[in-house]
Amino acid sequence: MIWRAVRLCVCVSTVLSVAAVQRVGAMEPSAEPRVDASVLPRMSASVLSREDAGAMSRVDASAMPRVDASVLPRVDAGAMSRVDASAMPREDASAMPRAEMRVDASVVLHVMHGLAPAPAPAPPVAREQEQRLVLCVRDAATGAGVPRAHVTVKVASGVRSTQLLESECGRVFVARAPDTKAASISDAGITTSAITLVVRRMGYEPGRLALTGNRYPNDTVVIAIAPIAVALSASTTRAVANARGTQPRLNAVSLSVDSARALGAHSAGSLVALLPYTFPRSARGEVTLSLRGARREQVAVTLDGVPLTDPSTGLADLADVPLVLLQSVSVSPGSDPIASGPGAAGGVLSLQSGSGSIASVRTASFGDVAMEGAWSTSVGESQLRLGAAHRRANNDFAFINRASTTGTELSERRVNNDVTRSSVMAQWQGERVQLTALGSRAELGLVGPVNVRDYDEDRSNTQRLFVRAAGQFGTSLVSLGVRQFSLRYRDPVRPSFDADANALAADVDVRRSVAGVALQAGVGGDRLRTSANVAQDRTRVFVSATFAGITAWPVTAHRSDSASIEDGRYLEWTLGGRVDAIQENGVLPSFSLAVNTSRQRAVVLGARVAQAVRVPTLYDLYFSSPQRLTVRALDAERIVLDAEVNARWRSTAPARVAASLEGALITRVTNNAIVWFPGNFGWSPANVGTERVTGVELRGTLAHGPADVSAWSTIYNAQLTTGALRIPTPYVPVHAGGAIARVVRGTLQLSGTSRWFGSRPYTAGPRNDAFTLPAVALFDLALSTSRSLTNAELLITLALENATDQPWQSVRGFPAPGRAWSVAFTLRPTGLP
Amino acid sequence: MSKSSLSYFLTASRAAGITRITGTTGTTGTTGGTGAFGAAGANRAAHTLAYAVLLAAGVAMLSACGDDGVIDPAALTPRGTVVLDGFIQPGLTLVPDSGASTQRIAFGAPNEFDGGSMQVRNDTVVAASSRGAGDLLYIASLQNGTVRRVQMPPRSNPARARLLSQSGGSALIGVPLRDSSSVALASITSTGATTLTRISDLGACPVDVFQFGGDNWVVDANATCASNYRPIGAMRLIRIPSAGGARQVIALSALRGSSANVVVQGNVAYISAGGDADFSSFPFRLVAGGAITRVDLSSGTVLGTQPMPAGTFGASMKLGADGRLYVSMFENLSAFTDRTIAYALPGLTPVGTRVAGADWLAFRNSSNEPVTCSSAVADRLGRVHCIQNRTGSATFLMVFAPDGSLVREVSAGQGGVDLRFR
Repeated sequence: MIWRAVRLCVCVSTVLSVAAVQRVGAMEPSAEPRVDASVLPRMSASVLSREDAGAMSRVDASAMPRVDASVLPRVDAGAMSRVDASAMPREDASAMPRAEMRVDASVVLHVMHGLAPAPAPAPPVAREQEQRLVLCVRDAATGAGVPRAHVTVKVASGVRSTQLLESECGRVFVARAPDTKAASISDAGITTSAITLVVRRMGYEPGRLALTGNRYPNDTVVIAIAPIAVALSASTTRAVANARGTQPRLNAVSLSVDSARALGAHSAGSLVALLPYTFPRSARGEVTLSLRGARREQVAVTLDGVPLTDPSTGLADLADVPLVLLQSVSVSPGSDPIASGPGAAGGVLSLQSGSGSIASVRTASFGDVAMEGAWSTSVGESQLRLGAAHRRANNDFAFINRASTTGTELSERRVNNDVTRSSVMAQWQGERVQLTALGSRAELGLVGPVNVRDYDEDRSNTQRLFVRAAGQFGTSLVSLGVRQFSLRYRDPVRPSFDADANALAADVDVRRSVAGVALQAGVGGDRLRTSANVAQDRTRVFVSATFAGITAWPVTAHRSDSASIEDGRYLEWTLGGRVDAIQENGVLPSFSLAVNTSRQRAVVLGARVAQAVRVPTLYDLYFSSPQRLTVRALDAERIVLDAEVNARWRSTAPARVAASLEGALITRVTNNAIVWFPGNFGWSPANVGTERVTGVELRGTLAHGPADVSAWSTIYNAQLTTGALRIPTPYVPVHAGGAIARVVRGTLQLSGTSRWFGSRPYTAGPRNDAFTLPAVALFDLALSTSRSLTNAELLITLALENATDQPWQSVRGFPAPGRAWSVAFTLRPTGLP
Repeated sequence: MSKSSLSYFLTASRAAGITRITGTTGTTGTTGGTGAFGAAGANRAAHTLAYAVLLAAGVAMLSACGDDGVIDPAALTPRGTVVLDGFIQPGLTLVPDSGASTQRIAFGAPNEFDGGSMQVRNDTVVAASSRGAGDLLYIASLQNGTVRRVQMPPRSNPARARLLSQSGGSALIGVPLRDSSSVALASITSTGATTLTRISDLGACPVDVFQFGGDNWVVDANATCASNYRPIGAMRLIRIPSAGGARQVIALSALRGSSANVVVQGNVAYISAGGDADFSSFPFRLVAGGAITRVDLSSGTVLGTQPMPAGTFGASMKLGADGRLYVSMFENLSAFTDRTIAYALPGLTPVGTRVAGADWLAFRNSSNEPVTCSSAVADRLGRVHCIQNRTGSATFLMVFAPDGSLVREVSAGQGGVDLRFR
């Protein structure tokens, strides 16, 4: 994955956005969606970042920085998808298969930047029997790589071949020497004037690219395909730019699982902890998170676009998602009412399912043993991927009890804190049908807070089933999602406390683009049954529309002239509206408007405003509680304003140091906040007051030679006002930050990850130091090495979490582990098809 | 005599004096609700005079008396009301007699607390948290703003804490342990040394303890408090003779439930039971309503029972300074509307300005609209002080004149569950 990204950045010789070309073509009916070779250099130059250029200028493989594009894509918060290629991760080029290193950097530089004076030494073209190009497929909206695309190579005489790219990049057979019908091969390369590549992928509009000019074997061609029903600016340049990530947008950052593994991540929870702006919390084995000063139930979690959030609790337990299922994860702070619908008030955590085969084993402190694997194979023109994961941990770690009645600190050990998780998953990727299924089961010891022994025998058993099926019919994408969650609470000492609950949610939606407007409509339902005779049902429907556009200056510039837009000024905007109708909650409209503008490539300014809604969950409390509580009728929580202004700067001048800096000012106003405020007896959440969040988010990256660092910081003032009470949002620190630093030496990568949180109130009461968790700084270390084996790449990661052995709690009363080690071995087959 | 040793002796003497007064008059029983603004000052003056006399006579007793170390001496001004914040930010909110400023004493941090009641004597507050919150006894000094915690046996499930009397100058606090059929007696010296003793074999679920006639008395709810809090049978009052010997068990055949509390007035114990309800599924179901039973402690006989109004649940009572019993309850198990009934003693006749057709008091706000509140008690003038939790669980102390009109309303913290006069 990483080296593919390196090659992507090093070897790019052509960048085209087929989808955007099609739009231009629509404006100019006679235009065939093809790109003249003469345009390529300018277009390529315009979309290359400084890092790209720098990377390409380094011929020495050992000095070649690695740019892991998957670490950075930032998906826009307001329906505009964004990509950030600035997030540093670099890959040691020496780790890349040598066969892939045969690119002459100076030639590429010439091609990419159109530097006419640059000498173009003759490429060492070998007369291979089969000549292939490397084709990379990217999402035109997010810039993220798109795996499992079907590529058809067409020549004048018909279809030459059709093949499936298992990953986002793959070799595409284009000619066979001396086959001159399709292409001529000579020392000057492959003349591809008669070749057309057609890329199809579920959920995307077909991409078509007519190759022109000469190509050298293993040249990389990038095609950006447009997602169905995602509005893109009507500009080739913008689409390409997004896809290439040369203009990263604010407040959305992605991280690939492969990169995270090298940083020591071993679960979806630890993966999220590596992302900026996130505040994961865990008490009894579950992992939830807060974003942008929001309560954790205000964060939507999606898997391939389908919500994972349980309708009964309003939460999604990330611990139930095995890492092997995922390819990457993106965090998008800020309301996203259009794409994610109700619940995405504070932000969205998007999980993307992965591809390919992989196997991993890990052992760690506290009896933690995990193994997971996935196997991928082609079945006809479809791809089948099966996987399973299992983890068991005692979690009987030592901790310091500072709340003992003796007044002294006691060294104790957690009990009944074990976890056993198993999951299986299956993915079917056809050309027009896609299926993802995930089943997981977890048995947890429900240890209580420190000094509370009442839960020392309590256990829970959860089961989760997630199924997503999608089919493409013409330019419409129909998807079906089903989520089932069940909980079994068991108290061996008091069986009368045993409780069961089952929640089920189903959704169907249709997406398509009409006249440049991305439309989406859907219907769904929620259902909850518990052993306490709770029976709740709810139906819901929605429609949404999104439209995007771009205006570039000078107006004389041709819209397809990327250079004029990239180097000049532009104003890009995305407007979306959504109406949800939810049973017992009425009609709930939301909207989103995002605007970006730039005068120069280096600086982008943006603003976004949105409204959102969060409906009550069906039984908004830990419904396994043996104490049956009454449920009040609640109104929907309304985010009447979620706004931000942002700015981003990225160094563009050629230099050895690459840097970026971004910042945002944010505010959010929520009326009728649904907050858990206990009453005397009829305890349940209530609509209370107005919640206001204001804050600043900052993030910077720096890359120099084999080292890079990324750091972020947030300042939030999140406060609920109800009557005379001023209540800071629990567990939201005013100050927080984090940093990741990496150094690559040969095949080794040494990384340090730091996160620090200011003091965090833990009650829904006025600010009071007595009810505040102290500030804490955590530091993790990871040493990883990647070894190339025969047809496989082995990643070995040694990690030390909480290296300074800081005692801390993410949830009051529940101590987190101290220093912990882990060793993980991850094997992934390599080699492009 | 040094200043510190004088203070030491004074404290010990005061504690001994208070103990004796309570024991001889028998008027305060276990309620601790003695605070009436005017009377309190006079009582304190009398107490102080008594202490002074004792000071001169007690030098020789210095080494023997010891310091209670826990029961704070008579409070310094200002007096006022103590509100127990039972959740969110557990602790005490001290509300003065006038003005809107309050003081806070945090209970919980960083511990759990889930107590629903407290006892206040002078400047000492005791309360307990259940097994779900760590099985802890809390002892707070209103004078110093300090809180001590005493660990009860793990998973013993304390019901409440009661200040008891004992000789020797140490403080004695009784804690009924619902899940271990026992009562813990915490004897705490001035140095903080704590000795726990247990009285075992006290039925299925002991929920209250008090002293009368030198003996300990325990109310057994006779419920499965270790599991689902459902009644096994009628409640029982158990007498534990201080001199040893056989225990006396008095059947409280009209009382059912898992919660009960006691007020002793003279020789009579008034024992209220919350009733029995099934909360295991929706809708909640009332199995048996609450009631108050009168027991003649001298003879060990049941004098009678006053059932709570039909449909109500969760009766809990306090003795007002006006001599009436103030019983708080939920009107039903659907809306859980708080209601308060004032009963005249000894006949338990509903009194006061009541809602038409009902026994509960009629309270009106400043707009003359009906309001309700929980955990009520009256001062000597018959003014009812109660707390009301509003949006965000914000607690307000409301004072109503005997005719139900609002006299005073003041913010009193958050998460209030009980109030007592200081």
